[in-house]
Amino acid sequence: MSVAASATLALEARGLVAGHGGRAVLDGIDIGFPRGGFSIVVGPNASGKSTLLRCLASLIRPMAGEVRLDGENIAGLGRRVLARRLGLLPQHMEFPEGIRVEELVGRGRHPHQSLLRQWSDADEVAVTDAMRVTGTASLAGRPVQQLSGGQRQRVSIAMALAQETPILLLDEPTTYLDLAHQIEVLDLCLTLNRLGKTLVAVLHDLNLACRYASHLVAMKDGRIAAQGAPADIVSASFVARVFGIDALVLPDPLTGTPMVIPAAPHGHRAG
Amino acid sequence: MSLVRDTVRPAPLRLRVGPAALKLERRMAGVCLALALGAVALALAALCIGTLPVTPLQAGRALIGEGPAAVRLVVTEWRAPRVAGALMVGAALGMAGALFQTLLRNPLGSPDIVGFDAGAFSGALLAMLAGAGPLAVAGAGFGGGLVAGLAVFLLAGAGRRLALILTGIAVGALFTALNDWIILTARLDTALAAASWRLGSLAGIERGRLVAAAALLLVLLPLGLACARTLRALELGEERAASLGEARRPAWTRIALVGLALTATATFLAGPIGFVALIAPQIARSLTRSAGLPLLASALSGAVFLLASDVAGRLLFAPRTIPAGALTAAVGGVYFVALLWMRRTGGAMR
Repeated sequence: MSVAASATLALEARGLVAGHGGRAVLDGIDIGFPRGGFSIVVGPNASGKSTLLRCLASLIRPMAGEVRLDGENIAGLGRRVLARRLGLLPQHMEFPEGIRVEELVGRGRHPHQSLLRQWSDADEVAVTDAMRVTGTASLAGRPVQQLSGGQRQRVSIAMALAQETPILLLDEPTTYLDLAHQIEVLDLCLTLNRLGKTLVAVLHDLNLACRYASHLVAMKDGRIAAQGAPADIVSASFVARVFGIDALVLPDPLTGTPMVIPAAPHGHRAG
Repeated sequence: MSLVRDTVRPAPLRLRVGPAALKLERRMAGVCLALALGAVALALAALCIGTLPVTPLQAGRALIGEGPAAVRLVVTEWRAPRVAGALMVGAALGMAGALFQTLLRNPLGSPDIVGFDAGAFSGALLAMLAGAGPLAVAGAGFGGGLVAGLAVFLLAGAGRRLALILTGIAVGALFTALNDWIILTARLDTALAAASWRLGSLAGIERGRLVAAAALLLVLLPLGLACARTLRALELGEERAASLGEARRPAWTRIALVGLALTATATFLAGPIGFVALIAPQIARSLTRSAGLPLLASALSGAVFLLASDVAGRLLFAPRTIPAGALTAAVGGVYFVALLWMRRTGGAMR
């Protein structure tokens, strides 16, 4: 890639082949995620979204190709160095029994600490800021186990923020949440994005993805089916091609972004 | 837990020494200090109590080589090595238990569950069959346990928790079958010696063995404490730990090796002493109310627990003594019934 491209792309995959147990799920992917963007990856089940995200986070090693962070191959970066530049909110996180919010958020500081220097003023500031931005400061002393699903997700995001990485990957951050909390979490993501963070999220809900994404990436069968601004790429033929359903695509009356309405099921056709 | 305790907590202590900086919960610091003082007090009591009671002053004089010969013999040759052994074995097992339980995310994840003790017994048995002395038997126990533990970790692969526990059961069963076969075919006196070794005992530990174990622990206990950062990351799940900079394989390897070496050192001193590794970390956690198992507090509570068990074993049915391993196993049984009972009734002891 040219120098200009890597200046605008925070994270990119080049010829990426990856999978599980020797079977390739990703079939030679080329994709770039713009710096300062809110990229959302959508696609049907088993399209390779999660595998792509896991490659970007260096959780699985590609069979071929590479992932570049600011133009550098991440395979050559140490894990600790990577952890200061790229954060991840995994779909499944475990919480140690009895841990309180403040301590959990503090654990996001791990890559900035060492055996000798286990807590600094910078850590203190980062944790306070992360809790303020996510609106979790009032929960500081509460055990995480007692929180609601939505609160827990905000606290998890606070922990990822305390890590102070310019890029944050989110693996289906709205799964298991009700609609109000899905909106709350995505609004928070948008706030973070406006504060300068580059976000890459995997999301199931196409309509929410269209509303929030600055850059939408659609995957199908281990390949990139389309990418670009939602308004530029989402159409009835796009939905048919990627998700295999007939749908009506209208501008969202509130935001003007594409709104996908699946065709009425048989027997329920209006007039 | 009351609401007040949940929300109002004293500010943590900040320690700074040169470039080093540490945040310490006050409760954690207090509990560790209390456990350390408790261990010292208990050690002093253990030197004084027994069929020949002595005053703390006499015991202290005996330790620096003064006073009547009989008192010096009892205090420095019989009681002191036993006390030192109990403290070292307890600390090693307590810390090993915290390491394994955190690694396996399972309160049953102690070294004896992953086949360590059966392997150690095999080593010791083979040495006894060959007519080796106590030091060689202890060394063979050290080696046998390491072989079994490493075999389990290699067969199961890093990071696969359930596979590790199942492999531990399988490998442990293999070694147990080997042990049973050896005992059935051995001469009666060897079989009796083996049965006594298997219970674990703090009696008759020679000075050389104490010194060797102390040297090992001086390295291993700090290495264990240095795993704390990694453990705190692993507790969040493997993906989150990896994204914080802790890769699975090196983290598992380091923690498993330190945990196995600590267990092997304990076995080298006293044979297999059960349940300390299971219980000490849980005691430490309920005292400190920390998230996750605290390493230093686990080591300290292991030391206090084993020394207290040994003193109780000497006193309960005096002049007859009960091996410390038998007593910790009895306490362990009661502990597990209590644990299950509390869980069933929704209590906080977890």
